[in-house]
Amino acid sequence: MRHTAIASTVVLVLALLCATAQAAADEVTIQVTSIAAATLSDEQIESGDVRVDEELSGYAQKLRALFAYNRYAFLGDVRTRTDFGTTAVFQLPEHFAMEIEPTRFEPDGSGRIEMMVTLIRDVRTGEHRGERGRSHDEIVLRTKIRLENGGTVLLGGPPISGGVLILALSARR
Amino acid sequence: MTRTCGTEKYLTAYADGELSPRLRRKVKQHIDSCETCARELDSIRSFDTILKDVPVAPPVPAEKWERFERLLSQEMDRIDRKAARSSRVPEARPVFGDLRRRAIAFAGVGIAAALGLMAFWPTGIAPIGLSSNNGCAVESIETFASGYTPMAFTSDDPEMTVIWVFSEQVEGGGRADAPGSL
Repeated sequence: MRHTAIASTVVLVLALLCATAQAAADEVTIQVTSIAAATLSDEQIESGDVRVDEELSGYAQKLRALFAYNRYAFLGDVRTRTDFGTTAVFQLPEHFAMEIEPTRFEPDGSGRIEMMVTLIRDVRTGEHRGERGRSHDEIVLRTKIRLENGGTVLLGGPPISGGVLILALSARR
Repeated sequence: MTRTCGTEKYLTAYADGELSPRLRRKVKQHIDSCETCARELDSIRSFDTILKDVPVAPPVPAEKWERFERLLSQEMDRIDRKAARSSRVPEARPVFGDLRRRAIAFAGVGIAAALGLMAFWPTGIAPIGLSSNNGCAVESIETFASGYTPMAFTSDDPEMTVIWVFSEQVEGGGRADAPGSL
């Protein structure tokens, strides 16, 4: 009787561990960093060097090498965990939002995470006439990517106040 | 070898009465004393006599001349046409002339097809499979908003894939900045 109880407990614990491990394997941690890039005049940039906010220190070298802007401002950082097949929604600055759905983890050893990424802009119309205005979403970008596990891809270009929006998207399983 | 005395060249003109009186007297004095020139003068005068005895051909009626000239002209035209046909060299054709024409036609069709795709393809579609390295492969890329054109870039140093949405709109009225060194 005692042995039976111990065995049952062990089996139950193993089952829970397996379930937890399986759940963890089906999840993807996604991080989106919002950056405002701009080209400022010499008067606006005192030293003349490229200014990158401290929060973007991890991206500073790449940003300097890839783009010709001289000002990179950190706008925000959002991180979430989501399951494969489930869409995660990120609210971004300047009326932008991003929907990310990890669709599958490539089992061929490449270790890439396949994702459907949609960048949406909330467009408000009618405000210039003094009305409250109506909003509707427009899909600025929809892309299907296969991102290396733990890798980063940069998405950018939409104009925002004083520059353009750049999003650093990272995913790790 | 016949001996010449320098007066032979005047004998024909003397026989025809074409010399001046002074020269005619000198030539006559020479002929009287030069047997050779006298014989030559006789020969010239006898030849002129023969020519005078040759009957002159009756004049050809004008209509016969016209017919002759017409027939002659036709014959000359026929000979010219025959000569032109025989001398005509077949037009040289490049060895790969047909192949080149086909290639040009094929390229034209391809360009037309590409332009057609550009004209009728849904807004903002960019070529897919643009990047397969740098840790990110872009399988598809598109936009459903007007004024945006998405494109994907890869950079080797630093290794990074960039998906950029080029925009014709910018808040404030200007154009959006290009991504610079991309």
